[in-house]
Amino acid sequence: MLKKLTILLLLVMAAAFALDYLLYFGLSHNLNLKASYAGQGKVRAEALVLGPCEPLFTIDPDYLEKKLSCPVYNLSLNHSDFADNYLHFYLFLKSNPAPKMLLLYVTPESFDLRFNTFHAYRFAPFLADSIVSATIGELDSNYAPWIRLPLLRYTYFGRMLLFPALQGLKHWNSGKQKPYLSKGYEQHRPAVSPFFDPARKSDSLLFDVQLDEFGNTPEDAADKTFIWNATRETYFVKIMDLARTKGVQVIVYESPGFSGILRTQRNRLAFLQKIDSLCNSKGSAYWCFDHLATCGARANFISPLMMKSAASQNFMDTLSLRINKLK
Amino acid sequence: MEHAEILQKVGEIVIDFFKLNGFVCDESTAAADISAWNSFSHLPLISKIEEAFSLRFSFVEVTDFQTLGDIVDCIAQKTSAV
Amino acid sequence: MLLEALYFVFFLALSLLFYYRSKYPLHVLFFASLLFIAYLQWCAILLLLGNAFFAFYWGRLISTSAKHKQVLFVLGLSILLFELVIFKVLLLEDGAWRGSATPTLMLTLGLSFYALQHMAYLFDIKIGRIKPEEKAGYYILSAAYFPKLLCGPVITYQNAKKALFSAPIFKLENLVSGANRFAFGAFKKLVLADRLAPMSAAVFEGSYPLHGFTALFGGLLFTLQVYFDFSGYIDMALGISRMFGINLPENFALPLRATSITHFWRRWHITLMQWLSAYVYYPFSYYFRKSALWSAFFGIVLTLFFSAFWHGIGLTFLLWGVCHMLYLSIELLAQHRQIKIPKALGWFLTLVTVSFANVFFRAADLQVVYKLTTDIFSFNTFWPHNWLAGFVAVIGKGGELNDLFNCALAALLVLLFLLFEGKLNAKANSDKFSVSWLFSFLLLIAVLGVFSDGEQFIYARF
Repeated sequence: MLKKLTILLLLVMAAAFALDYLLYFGLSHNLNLKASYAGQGKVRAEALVLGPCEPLFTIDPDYLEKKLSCPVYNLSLNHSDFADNYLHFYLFLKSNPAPKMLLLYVTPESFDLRFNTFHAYRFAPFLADSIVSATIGELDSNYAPWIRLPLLRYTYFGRMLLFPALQGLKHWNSGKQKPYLSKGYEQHRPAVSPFFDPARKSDSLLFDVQLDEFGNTPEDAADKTFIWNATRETYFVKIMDLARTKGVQVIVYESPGFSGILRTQRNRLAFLQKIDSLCNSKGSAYWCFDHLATCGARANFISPLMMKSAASQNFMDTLSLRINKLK
Repeated sequence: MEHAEILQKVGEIVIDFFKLNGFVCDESTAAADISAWNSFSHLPLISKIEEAFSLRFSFVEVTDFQTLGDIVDCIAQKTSAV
Repeated sequence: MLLEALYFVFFLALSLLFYYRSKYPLHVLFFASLLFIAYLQWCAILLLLGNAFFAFYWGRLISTSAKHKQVLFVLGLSILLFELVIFKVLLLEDGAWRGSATPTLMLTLGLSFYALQHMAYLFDIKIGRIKPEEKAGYYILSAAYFPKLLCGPVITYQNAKKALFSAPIFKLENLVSGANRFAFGAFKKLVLADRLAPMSAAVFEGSYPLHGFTALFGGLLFTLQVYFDFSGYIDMALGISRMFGINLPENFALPLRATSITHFWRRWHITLMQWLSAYVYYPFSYYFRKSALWSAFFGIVLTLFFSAFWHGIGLTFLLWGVCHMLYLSIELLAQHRQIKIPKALGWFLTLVTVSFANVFFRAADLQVVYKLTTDIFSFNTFWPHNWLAGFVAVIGKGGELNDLFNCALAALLVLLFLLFEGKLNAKANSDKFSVSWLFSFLLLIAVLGVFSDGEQFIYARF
């Protein structure tokens, strides 16, 4: 009995450590995870785009490269907050040459906890890094106790990590060189809801719950007052500080949003001023484009802050003009 | 009435009630042995037995019956007391 | 969750040690139970003890009274029922499916389950089936015994007495079989139920119109979820109890293989159905036993009405009860007319009808009921024209490869489990120390379990 119990314990321990390594290996070889891809040190970019879904779906590096005549990479992540962005920027700098400039997308929403969030699971393969683990300790107290447990530190987020780990093993096995989104830009897809809508019979296989409706989530609803969050501010400043130590010029920008919604945001102006003074104190440029003609037409937008591709190309023209002037 | 006699009579009622041709009942026959014998048919069956022997079972007796033997014992007790 | 699990293992180990070593094992069980409740919610102890004391003394009162047995019994029963109603109404305000552990819910921890024991106790004393317990401590322990406290199984005092109050004899086999059963239950809960939970929630909590098939499938998903959740809890409760050498009654017997609704109710939440049949159905039908059909019909109506009320006051639960009343009445009529259908068809119909009724059970309010029934009965849009977009993406909460993977994994796990469930159940009850069994389940839980946002036990809500 005692012998069997020992065997059981030894087997469980051995399996846990083996699977732990397997998952780690798979995740860090998954090129589709931006942090893992960055970790391979193959990205050469002079301009780096950083932010949540808005820049992810609207800033196309291929287009911007032509305008700026330098390599561009889009490091934005869906639904990410400043801590997400900070850690990705940090992990990027750890293995790749520092870019010349960082285009950081910031709106009043970025400082309000009701918008976007920190995704600890994105950093599961980097827990050995003290900055990563300290950030997780600060922002995800539920996950923090698990990060020292072999295997469980990955399977805690099993529904998000098992598949990417398997995919990573496949990437490693097939010797894949480029990720699915080669420059990090994700072209947004035709608006098809997975939910049945008799009025709109589409058979497209592409769908995304987030993108199909204009203002269908409560957060997108008009008429709101933002609430400033100090932790968000801390990580915003951390990004700018990190950039400064590496000699990266930071350009904080807000792309055009639909004016019909922006108008109803009660303390928008106060927030813009606060962002401006933060940027000034760190020597970063702060550009807001809410005065462009693009903002006025509902037809230019998918959602209040997300432009359709034609409108975002117009915006990239304006943006690159300004960047080139700065150079 | 004799024990065996009661058992035979009860067995006939059960077989007739559930329409089980060729089924053989003994003292250990329980509800589990007859698929149609469930909570829905238990009380109507008991009521048939009550009619046949012209007696009344109490609620506790009815719910405590586990096997045919239990029912037979109970009837024997009641009829011998008369 | 990690800390809670560690605390619990520590608590269990200490309780077992003291239980087998102490001269007063029942005292150990009693204090362990109080500690268990106190950890969850201090105030719940007062309610638990208050109820147990009440039932204990009222039982004595009924048995010693010569003339007023009936009056005292009705009064005692009314008090217990009234209390149940009050708390169900308070819970109604919290909303059965919204939020996780509301204050009222924590206060009434296990109330629905021990209230049934007290009612049965008073009834049995009144009809003279049992004599009242002499020692208050015994009675209270039977109500507070911690493995069964949160979600059953429902037991009567005479069963509890048989199971609990024999001198503990330490047997290694009990520890082993308890552990086997516990690991099995934890797998059902942490892997199967919690992987299904977000999928069924996507159907029941979205405001978008769905294809009829997707909406009905949501009912099936919930049926599976609640089965794995509840039976997983029961496996763990019975496993822990067995470690103390105490056998609690089984609550499920492969219900998803039932070939008729009658059959289903004999295999699903068995202890509740036994309680209902002994204390609602039989007392009522006893008086109407001359007419086979009517006694059964009225018995069914009353039983399911009480069952719906026990799960929660609200029209959604009532509608669920009405569904099952209809199903059972139809079956009864079919049986009466000697109509028989093939077993495979019976199984399929049972699964579909039970799932359909569970749409009402799970719906948060009548608005959701209305929306989902409209979805289900819009026959021209019943089948999704695009399965990936209209079905997988809904229950997978998105159509990314990762969501597809999770759906496929859940489907595979559930199907494999159900296919081999009979064999697995037998192994889960074995008292042999099997390295491969424990190793497989520990690893399956570690790799596939949901730890980040697992749900609390569904039946702790009722």
